[in-house]
Amino acid sequence: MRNLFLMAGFEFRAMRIYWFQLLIAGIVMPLALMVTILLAQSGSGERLPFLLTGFIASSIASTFLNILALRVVNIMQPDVLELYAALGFSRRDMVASFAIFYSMFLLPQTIVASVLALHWAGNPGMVAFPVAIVGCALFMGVLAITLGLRVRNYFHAMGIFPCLSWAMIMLSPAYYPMSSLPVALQALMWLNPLTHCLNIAHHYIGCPDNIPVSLSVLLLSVSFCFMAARMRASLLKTYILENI
Amino acid sequence: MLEISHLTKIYPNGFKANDDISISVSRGERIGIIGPNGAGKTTLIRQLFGLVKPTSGTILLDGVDTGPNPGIVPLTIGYVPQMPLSFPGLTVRETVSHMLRLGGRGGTRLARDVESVLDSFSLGSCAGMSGYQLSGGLRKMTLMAIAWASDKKLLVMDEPTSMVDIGRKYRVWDLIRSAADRTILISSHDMNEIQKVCDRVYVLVGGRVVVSGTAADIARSMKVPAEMEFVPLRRDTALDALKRSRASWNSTENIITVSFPELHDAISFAADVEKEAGVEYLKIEAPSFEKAILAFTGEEHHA
Repeated sequence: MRNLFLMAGFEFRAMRIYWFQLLIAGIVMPLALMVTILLAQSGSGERLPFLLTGFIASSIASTFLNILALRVVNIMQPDVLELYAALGFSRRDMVASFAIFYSMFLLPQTIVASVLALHWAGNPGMVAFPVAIVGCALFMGVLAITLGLRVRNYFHAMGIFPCLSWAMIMLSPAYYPMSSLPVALQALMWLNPLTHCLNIAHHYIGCPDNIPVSLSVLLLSVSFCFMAARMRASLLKTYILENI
Repeated sequence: MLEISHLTKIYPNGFKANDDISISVSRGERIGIIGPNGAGKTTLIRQLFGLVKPTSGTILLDGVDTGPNPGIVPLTIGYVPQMPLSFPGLTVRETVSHMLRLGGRGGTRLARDVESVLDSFSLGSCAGMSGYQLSGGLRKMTLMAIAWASDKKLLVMDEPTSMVDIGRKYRVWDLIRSAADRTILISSHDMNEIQKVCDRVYVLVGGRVVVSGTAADIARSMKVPAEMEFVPLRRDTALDALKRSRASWNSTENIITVSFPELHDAISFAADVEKEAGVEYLKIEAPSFEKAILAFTGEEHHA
């Protein structure tokens, strides 16, 4: 546990060099988007809980897939693996410390947007909604790590992950309801885990459901267990460079 | 300390990277591994760290088989990777300090050890520089400082002084030579480095150990013909002596070049010609460690 927090602190220090980029991409731009949402809905807060929930979920997906997954790919490079193997750092601890760091990074905008969403919602689940958001973060974190462990090629990953996060956000009810799309595209949205994360969060913020919430919980739980098992096996694998 | 026995690695694509390699490293020894690119050095190191599975053979660390006990490797071995990796956003001092903290050090000992190792590796002047500002050589020195400060029983160094400037290079060699209590395995292309710091050398070619021993033994084991160039004081007398000898020779306007089957033939001829004709200039090229290695690795004609 000591090493876990030391490594998260290490990551924090190591990222100082990118402070301006992180400030703009991680704080200023998301908050600007949130302010735009608030301004667009001025006078009527009816759609704010829906849009703010979409904002939270898309921020989580974007941060984890664009930054966390790439960090995981980085530590899976053969040279880096050799160094860390010799330093005695466990891959599991390193990945966990990255997840902690980037979760902290998401906290400010998530807290502000959640408070506003709960404020504007008619009859929100005051506990269930934050739990749904934490669940969404957990799922996206495990998805990002599993994909990072799988892709491995850093140059491929730099192209794949931004596209993937963009596609996941576009093809989810983050900023528009599912019903506004043709039925064929709605079916495609069912395959998107972010759709189900949003479906659950929307349910507890009092927005109409497109998919039965129990079905979303079931689908996410099954895929979470599958991914977690894959992730664990990859992180604990001894002969990690065997197939490179 | 380290006992590698009959280690063979065949990759899933059928490529045999290591072929029945046996290497023994006793406590306090400094062992060099030399080989051309693709000789199997990296695969050997990766098997040592449990990143690649040996097809057959064993690796024992302090008598413990690393196969079923991979946890012993990071506790016993410190490593200097070939690539000059760095943390771009951290200063040299922060990097070394953080690595030692993760290794369990803290308090006044941590501060003392950080300053001591920075001084030992001549990194004091760049301790406040960030990783992205460092040259390749300084990055390697930082990695070496981390490994050195880790107090591991065995240090594995992959091309430790590549990219390092000559002053620091000598500093590192002095450190390695003077650290009698450290066991060190160096993989290097720099034969000068291996010759200067290693007690014994293993030459790897095509995944096999083709020769091992001290650098002097390896050089002696090769019957490399000696070549002598000289300028005699009395040219005609020297040419007469050459005609009497069985050596092959040729002559330009001033310099006479003579080839001998072995070094001692060249030395005795040099003594004779000095006595009879006098010598103004003399150069004998004898079998060198470098030439011997090139002969073993089959790269002589490309050198």
